[in-house]
Amino acid sequence: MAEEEVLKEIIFIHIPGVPEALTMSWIAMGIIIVVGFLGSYSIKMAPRGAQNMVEFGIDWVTDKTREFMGEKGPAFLPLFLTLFLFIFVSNLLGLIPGFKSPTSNISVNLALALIIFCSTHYFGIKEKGAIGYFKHFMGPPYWLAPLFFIIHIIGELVRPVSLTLRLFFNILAKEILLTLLATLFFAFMMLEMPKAIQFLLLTGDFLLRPAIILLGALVSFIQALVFTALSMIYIGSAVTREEEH
Amino acid sequence: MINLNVDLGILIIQVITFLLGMILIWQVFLKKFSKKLSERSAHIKDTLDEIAKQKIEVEALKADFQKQLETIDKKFQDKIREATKEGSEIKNDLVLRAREEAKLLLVKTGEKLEIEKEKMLKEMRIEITNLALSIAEKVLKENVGKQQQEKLVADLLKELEKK
Repeated sequence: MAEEEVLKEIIFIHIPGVPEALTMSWIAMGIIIVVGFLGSYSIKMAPRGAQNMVEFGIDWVTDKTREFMGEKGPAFLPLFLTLFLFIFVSNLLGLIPGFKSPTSNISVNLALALIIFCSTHYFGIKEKGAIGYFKHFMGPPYWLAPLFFIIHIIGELVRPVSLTLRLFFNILAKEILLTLLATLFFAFMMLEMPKAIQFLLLTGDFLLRPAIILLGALVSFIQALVFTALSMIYIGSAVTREEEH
Repeated sequence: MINLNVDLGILIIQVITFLLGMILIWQVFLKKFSKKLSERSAHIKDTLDEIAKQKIEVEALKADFQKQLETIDKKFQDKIREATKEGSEIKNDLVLRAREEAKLLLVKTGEKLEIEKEKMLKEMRIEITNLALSIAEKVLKENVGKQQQEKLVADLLKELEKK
């Protein structure tokens, strides 16, 4: 266990005494803020360069909030833009040698899921009032209210768990695959075997890596989108009134 | 080995990191971009509204011009009709007047001819009288006989008849 920790300290960029997941999380957040700052350095009416990229991202997330939450969506733009960008950049970080996706740490993902969980109920109560909001958990039919309440509560509690584990295992699988390929490369180099077979194995490993990185980028985007879209749906359903459905 | 243990410290710091990050993102660029995007949307909307308004105005102007063109065309046709009618009337009038003048001229010329004729006849009589006198004078001068005298008179009369 101690050897593994030492190895991790050698491989991954880190701040001494700070867990690597947090270091990576700060780096991801830093990258977002710096890119955003560069894009907003001199905003023009007709966008150019970095401004174009940032505007595209903002527009895209705004459209998604409208798509999943209706007209109330754009009000939640800061939350969802931060969430989407943070997960996406965090996922991509793991593709760079020396970095690790903070989203491959279950505590980081749970923190994000809990923010969504708390936001869902906070905005739901704020919009409908405590009684109006919890009444939604009871039915109809109202004679089955106790049963519905328990089912809804379980459903609500399962949401952050499903958000956390989905993101965690997808990103972990990508990281494991990349680590495995890197480990195999060195293993094939060390192992005693005929040169031709060794060359074939090393070439296969070498060619497979860009494909896995490409797949990793795709998974990074899809997982960020899934987490954000589900969050939008959760909060959207909490703030939407019955007559608006 | 997959670590499924939740580290409460990481969890709390991550929540704080995320919330601080969200505030920073809002302050550093999102606020500016949101404002700029709203301004741009408003600008585009205003421009489109203005274009729609101008389009309606242009349509109205076009309809007005079309109407004016139709009126002008109608007036033009009326004027041509009027001018043609007027021209025709003038032509008829002129022809009528010319005919009347010609008739008048013909009458006047006839009258003039009659006067000239009378005048010529008068002159001719005077001429004949003068001629007869001169003959008589000649006859008297030459002492012609009666027979000769009669013959001369008869010749003279024949001559006059011929004239």
